[in-house]
Amino acid sequence: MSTLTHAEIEKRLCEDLPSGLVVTPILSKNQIGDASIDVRLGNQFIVFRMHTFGLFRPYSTPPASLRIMQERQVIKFGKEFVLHPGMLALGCTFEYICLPSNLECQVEGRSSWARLGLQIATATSVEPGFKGVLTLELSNLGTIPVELHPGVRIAQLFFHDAKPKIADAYGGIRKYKCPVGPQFSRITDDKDGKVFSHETNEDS
Amino acid sequence: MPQTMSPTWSEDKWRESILRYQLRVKADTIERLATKLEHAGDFPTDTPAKLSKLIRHSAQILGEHLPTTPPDQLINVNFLLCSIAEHLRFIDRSRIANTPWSMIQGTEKFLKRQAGSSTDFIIRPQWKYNYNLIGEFVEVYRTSIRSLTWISIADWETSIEGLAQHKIYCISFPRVERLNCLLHANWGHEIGHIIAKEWIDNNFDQLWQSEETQILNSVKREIDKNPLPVVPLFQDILKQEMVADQVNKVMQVAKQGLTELICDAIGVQLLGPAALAAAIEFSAPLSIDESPLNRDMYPPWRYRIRLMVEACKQDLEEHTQKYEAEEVHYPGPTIKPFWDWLRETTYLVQNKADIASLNSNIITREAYKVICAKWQQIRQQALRLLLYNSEEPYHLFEQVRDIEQLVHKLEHDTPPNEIGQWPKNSPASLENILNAAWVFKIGRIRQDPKWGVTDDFEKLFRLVLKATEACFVHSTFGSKLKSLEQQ
Repeated sequence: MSTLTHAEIEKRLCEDLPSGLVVTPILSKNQIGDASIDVRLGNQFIVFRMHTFGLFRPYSTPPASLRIMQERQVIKFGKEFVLHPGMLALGCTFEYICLPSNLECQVEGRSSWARLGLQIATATSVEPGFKGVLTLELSNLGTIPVELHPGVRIAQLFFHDAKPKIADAYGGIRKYKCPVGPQFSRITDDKDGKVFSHETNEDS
Repeated sequence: MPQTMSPTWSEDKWRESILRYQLRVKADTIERLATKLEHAGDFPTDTPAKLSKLIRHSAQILGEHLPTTPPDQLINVNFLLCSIAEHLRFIDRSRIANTPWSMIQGTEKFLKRQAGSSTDFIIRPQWKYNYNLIGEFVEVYRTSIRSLTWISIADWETSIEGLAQHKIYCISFPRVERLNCLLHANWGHEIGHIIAKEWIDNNFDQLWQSEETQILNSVKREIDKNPLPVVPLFQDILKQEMVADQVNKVMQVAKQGLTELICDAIGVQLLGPAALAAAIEFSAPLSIDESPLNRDMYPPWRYRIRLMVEACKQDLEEHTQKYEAEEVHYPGPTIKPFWDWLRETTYLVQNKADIASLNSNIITREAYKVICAKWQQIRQQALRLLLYNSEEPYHLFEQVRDIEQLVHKLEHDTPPNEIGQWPKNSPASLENILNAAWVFKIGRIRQDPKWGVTDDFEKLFRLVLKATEACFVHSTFGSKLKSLEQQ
């Protein structure tokens, strides 16, 4: 697996759809680094309403009631979102990304933010064929609140060739299709998890 | 046991004292509610906070002057407080969660370009299935406060700070269509109401004076055709009343008709075929030949569509354009399904059922005789009142390559927010995004019988909404970032 470098990233960005790489909009050419593209923070967030929900049971909580525990926030560009110590919020990239069927990518937080205690992405691998904004799992592991502004460069994408090319990349029934905002966990859709869950296992 | 009435007791004074403290509480409550909304922060733009501020200061000044308010004016203060309290609902409903928030900033920027930078818009949903424009609020408040002679208008203007020079309007859209950004091309029509009002205020009386005698004679002749069902002694009086009443109705039909037709003309001027498509879709469940007398004086939809088709005439013809030294044929394969669909409106407007409906009654016949005779001149005058697009209308045939690119993006589940390939890319315009979305939608409906389930529409709306937001951010912040690159 080889990592795409600056020239190759630019070449892929210039290719037409569906074989080309799309990261849109790239507001500044400085976003393209030696072997990565910096992506910006979008303005939608999902925060958790801890006071309305007790225990989250992944395999027995009805999907509809999951809405009770999450609250969507939209922060205008120019305003701030404050992430307090110990807090987890789902954010997203401002850029919409389309990966061709022969490219996968890794999302990494920028070290400048990491040094402030900000963890940005934990589910870092994006499969070939993905289209949408990327959900970021933002958590503040530090001891001081951090102010985040939509539009700031928050993470980096590293691209790798996927060989051989996948025929129906990201096709079929997928959990997250063309999202334009952060997506809440759909762990409840995991059928195999239920096999091991005493919550749904009648014999237990 | 009834108490003996005190000789000094006065019913008026007793009720006045109740009203005075009640109004104090009402003014304070409105002020508090407005403050809460002003600082709520969950609005897509700053305009709702501006209207909150206007309401807060107006309630405050009314409350502060209650001790000096003349007793006979308390009822007017009450009326004014109740009216401004009702306006709080526009603000409350315009929160991010209730609106297609991602297109609001871009849309307001687009609307301000046409109406002036000191004109602000609140966009809010309403449960009634309609689009409309309400306002202008600052002037309405100014007029109301000015009529209260014990309050200094200068004090009020000082209290609202810079807002005195602003104009604030509220555009409403049907709640059930919140995410249907393609239908929101109707917002072009709504901004037209500002232009239409200006045209009506400045020109309608003159137009009416030049036509009134002829209309009066026509109405008289029509009334003379049938004997009046009264004794001869009263015939002249009844005839005069009937003539005056019918001439007045002709004026109302003409005024309302012109207002709506000017709005349609502005919508098409700004957004081209997307505005026509939105009007066609919006009118689909309605009777299109209904007389204005049965529809609150509104023109028949077929009549409106006919004039919009006429305004889009050039987009319904074939063209060959030069585009970067290349000959580009319009409509071309991408736009053709939408173009064919639009051209079918010419069949719709060949049917003259609306004209028959208008001619069946002297009131509508006379009103539309004036409209028809003067329409081209009126339209030109109205378009000149637009700040930005007054000379050059939006033409789809001039945008072939850009539209093709944007549709191509939608075909690959990508937001249509950019023109050109990296690094020579630039944000698409709102006009092009909306027209590309219509081209894509009609193309899909016509070419793929399976396309058109709710998921398909939702995905299209999502991508278009994302595109409008991305192009707003790109055009607002992109140039600042570019200047940093050069440092």
